Amino acid sequence: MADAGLDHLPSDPAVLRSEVERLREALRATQLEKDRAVRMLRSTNTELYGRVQGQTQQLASLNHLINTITASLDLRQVANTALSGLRSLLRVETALLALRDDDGDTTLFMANPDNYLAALPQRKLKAGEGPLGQVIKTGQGLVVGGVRDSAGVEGSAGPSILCVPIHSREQTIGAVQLLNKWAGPFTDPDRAFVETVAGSLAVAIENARMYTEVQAQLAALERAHAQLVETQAQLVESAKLASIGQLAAGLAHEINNPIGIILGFAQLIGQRTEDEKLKRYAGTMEREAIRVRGIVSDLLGFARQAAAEPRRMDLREVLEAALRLVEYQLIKENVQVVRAYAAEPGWVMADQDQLLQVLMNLIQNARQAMPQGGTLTLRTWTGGGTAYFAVTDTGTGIPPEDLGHVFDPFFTTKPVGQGTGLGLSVSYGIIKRCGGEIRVRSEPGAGTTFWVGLPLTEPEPQ
Amino acid sequence: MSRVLVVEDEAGFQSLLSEVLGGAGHTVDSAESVAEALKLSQARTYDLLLLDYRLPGDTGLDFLESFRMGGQQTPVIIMTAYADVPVVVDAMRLGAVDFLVKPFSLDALLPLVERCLRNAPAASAE
Ligand SMILES: Nc1ncnc2c1ncn2[C@@H]1O[C@H](COP(=O)(O)OP(=O)(O)OP(=O)(O)O)[C@@H](O)[C@H]1O
Ligand SMILES: [Mg+2]
Repeated sequence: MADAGLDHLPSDPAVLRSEVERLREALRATQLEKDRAVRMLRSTNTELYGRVQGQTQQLASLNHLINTITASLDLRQVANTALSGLRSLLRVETALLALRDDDGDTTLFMANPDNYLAALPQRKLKAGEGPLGQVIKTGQGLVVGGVRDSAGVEGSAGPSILCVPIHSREQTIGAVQLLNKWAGPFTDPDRAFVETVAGSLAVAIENARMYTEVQAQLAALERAHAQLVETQAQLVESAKLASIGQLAAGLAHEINNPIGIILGFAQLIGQRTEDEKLKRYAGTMEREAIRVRGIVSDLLGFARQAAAEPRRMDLREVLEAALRLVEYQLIKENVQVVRAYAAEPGWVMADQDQLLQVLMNLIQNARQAMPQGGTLTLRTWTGGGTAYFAVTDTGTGIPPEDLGHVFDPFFTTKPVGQGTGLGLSVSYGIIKRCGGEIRVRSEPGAGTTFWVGLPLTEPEPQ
Repeated sequence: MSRVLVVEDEAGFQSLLSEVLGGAGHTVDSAESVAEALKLSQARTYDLLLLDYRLPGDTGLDFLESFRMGGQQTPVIIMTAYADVPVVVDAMRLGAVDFLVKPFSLDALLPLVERCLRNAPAASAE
């Protein structure tokens, strides 16, 4: 080739030199061209690489967002996650969500939680109101401020809106709206991104709604069950009371006659004898007979099943009435009774018979917990608009695992025939109906305290 | 000196009341049933009746009704085993002058008996 070229070589050295110059110039230009091409290729390469990187990252974020959204069953949490995620991933000022209500034409309104709009009370949109309302109405997405593809020119100023419907089972159940992208108008990939999120939102919302429905049904079931248990307890309570009432009335007849006779003759002996010792003995008999009379009349009052008749009473007096019924028996069983009453009265509005029933249940339990004897302390105090009383024993105590169950109907640790497990649940019901509360504290091996608080009422008018 | 009829089936009460009223200077007759009480009260006129509500068979109220229908004006004190308000009300309506709730104290019995005797028309017999 070189030979062939040499054939055309000009013989004039000057021409030759200029020809060489021209060739050099052309070579340099080609070199430059090549460099530019390489540079361009490199930059395209970098850009492409960046775009792939970005898309991969966005895909990862999207994936993460979708997972987070569908992980929750709480509607509010679902909405908050989706809106916060959309806002930070797409770099927009505000993300909004609206859901179609059951009645169809108003919608619920929520904003991403870190937005000032989120602090406003939830608002209803009218049908077709605003971009959200419109999208929900038409089922079609909506863009304001122009969509450009990634290669397009920089967008113009002004609000940009991207609003996308949420479809579930062929229905538009809501819409997501993004407002004011920080950099430029919304792009097609933005829209695709939001549509994907909207798709998973649809699933999450349906799940959350279904969950709420199931929860509501569960709660209703639980309420029904609780009511059933209470009704049952009440039935047993009234049956128990009725039979106690009948028993007590019959007992009163049988006991009052002999007591009347003993009382009368004791008094007669006391009047007629000159013997001081005999007089003392007769006096003792008389006192004891009068005490039995008191017990029987308390028992009757207690058993009389008059419908609850709340009236004003001093807790200290109710405690005393209860003690009158059982104190003799307690002393016989080596139980020492300690009265730690407040100096001031504890006025409450309650049905005396029912309050007595509560006390009898508590004292009975305390007695049964102290088969070898012990100390029974009855306390009253007031504070914070409440009148309290407490029954404390030095008995076996209640194991921690039982403590949460003692108020349950039919919970008992006593042998068949000794306990029905209703004493405390009935007491609980009575105290609750009076607007009060009943609590227990126990230390196994040391003893148990049940305390009751009832609303304090005005003192007796003078 | 008054004559008192005690209508009471409990032997203990019967003897207690006889003892107490006798000790206070009254003459006491006893009946254990409504039938016996009617027989005695027809045979003579008493100054005062102590009448138990719960008797074998007919109640004290049944007796009181027949007794009043027979035209007897004698004061009657009804005794009940416990404050059974309806019984006391019925007894008062049928003409009982007062009531005693068993078990009662002698301090309650004697003054009540004296008061009823003082207010009553004197018995015609004797
Ligand atoms: N003062 C107490 N000391 C120890 N255990 C107690 C005490 N009070 C209640 N409990 C426990 O709580 C259970 C439930 O008491 P609750 O009074 O409701 O029923 P009960 O006493 O078993 O039967 P009922 O009162 O119907 O005769 C008891 O069986 C007992 O195990
Ligand atoms: Mg109990």
